[in-house]
Amino acid sequence: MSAPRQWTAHRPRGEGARRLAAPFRILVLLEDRLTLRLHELRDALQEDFPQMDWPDDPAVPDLHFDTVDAPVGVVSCGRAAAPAAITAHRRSDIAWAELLPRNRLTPVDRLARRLAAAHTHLEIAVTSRGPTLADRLEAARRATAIAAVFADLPIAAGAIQLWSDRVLSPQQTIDLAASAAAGEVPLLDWTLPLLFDHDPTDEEAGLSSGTTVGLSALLGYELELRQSPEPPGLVIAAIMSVAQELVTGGVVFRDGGEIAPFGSDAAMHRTRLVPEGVLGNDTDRWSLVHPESAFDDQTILGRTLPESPERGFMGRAMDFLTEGRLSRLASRSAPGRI
Amino acid sequence: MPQFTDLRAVSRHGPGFLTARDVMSVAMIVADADGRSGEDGAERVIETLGALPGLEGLDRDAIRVAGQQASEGIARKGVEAVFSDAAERMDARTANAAILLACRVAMTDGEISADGDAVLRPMARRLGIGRSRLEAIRVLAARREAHGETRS
Repeated sequence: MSAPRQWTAHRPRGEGARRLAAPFRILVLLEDRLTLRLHELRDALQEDFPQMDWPDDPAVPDLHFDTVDAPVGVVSCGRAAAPAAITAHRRSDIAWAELLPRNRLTPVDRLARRLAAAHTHLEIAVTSRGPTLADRLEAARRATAIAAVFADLPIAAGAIQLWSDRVLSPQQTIDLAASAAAGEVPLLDWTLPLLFDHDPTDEEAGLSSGTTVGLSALLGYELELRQSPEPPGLVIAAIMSVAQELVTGGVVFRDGGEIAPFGSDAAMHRTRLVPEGVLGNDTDRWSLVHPESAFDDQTILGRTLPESPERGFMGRAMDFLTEGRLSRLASRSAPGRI
Repeated sequence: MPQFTDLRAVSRHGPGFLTARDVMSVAMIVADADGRSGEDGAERVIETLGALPGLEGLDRDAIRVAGQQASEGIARKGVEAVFSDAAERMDARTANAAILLACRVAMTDGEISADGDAVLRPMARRLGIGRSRLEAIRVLAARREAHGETRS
């Protein structure tokens, strides 16, 4: 058995670090060709999202943008994020067969049909100033706001958040941007909670597993809950409750620590780091382990220390003294005692 | 080709917004040729706009915004460019409505002036409205002006 893992705050590396450096990319699917001057877009952003700064940056020229003939544009985000890149191209790599079920859509749904028929794909990419959560949230807000301005056009069919695989209707995109611009963190729309089977027999055994898709764009890791005896809805709710705490409550995980998903009265879940690649994960994951979970994290991921770490030599010596062992030992070895 | 700002206006004011703006652009061009100052002509056009095809859902605020955009468009891009764009988008019913509105605005103080007529006739022709049809529209416009019919 491997040595117990020490408690450490998570530091994104590998794929997690790469995701924290990647732009937030949103596709807005349009049903027709679109032309504009870039100042029109900036004016629209200033009008729709006045609480954000959309400066007239002299380094960003007021170019003509055309989804067919001039498909590249840039909009300044001021100091909040790197300039937003807007490109138009037909994406052939959208995996509708996976994307639609993930978003509980079928190909005959109105939104799915409109998206599939839309042949102009506008991609908005906003890169954060840095990897901190505040920087990442601001970049996500900017990308969402720009997407909403396009989603508001009558030719918009919908949007896809590429970091989370989230499919949104035009109205959902607009509402999401309004909520984000108001200072909220609309995590339920910026990430996609997804159920999965840890083991093929889980369903029969009444076990549920769920994960976030897209949380790594904000934090550098995903959050999951494996083989919980709770019903699927509760598993997803638990994951999203903890995710919200991570993003807005400043909670920091420790490997082997504990957290109660819905507050102090809920069952304490052990928090385990599942490093990138260990269980086939494409990025680091934090796993919430229900007290009655069938997921044997101590065997699979290594034993963890209890919540209170073992005390050092001096601490143990003091325990020895205060518990009276020394005095008993002294009395046992006292002269005259046989 | 859909233009970003036009589409935003449609999104805010309804699908008839561009039609209203095109119709008012034509009327404002005639009003200007008829001797009305830009602002006076624009106000008259906005006031006179009736229940035109496709405009049923537009409220007064939207009509006023469309009128302002029409006026600004003529000042910025010029008569020919604005008229060409509008003519390209108009169907036969909208073209009839535009010429009817133009006639009514020009008849506010009586008959259409020679200058107004010189602009009205070629515009009607470019919109596919023949001479007899134009005369019929003028008669209708005179009748409506006589009865003081405006959008209520």
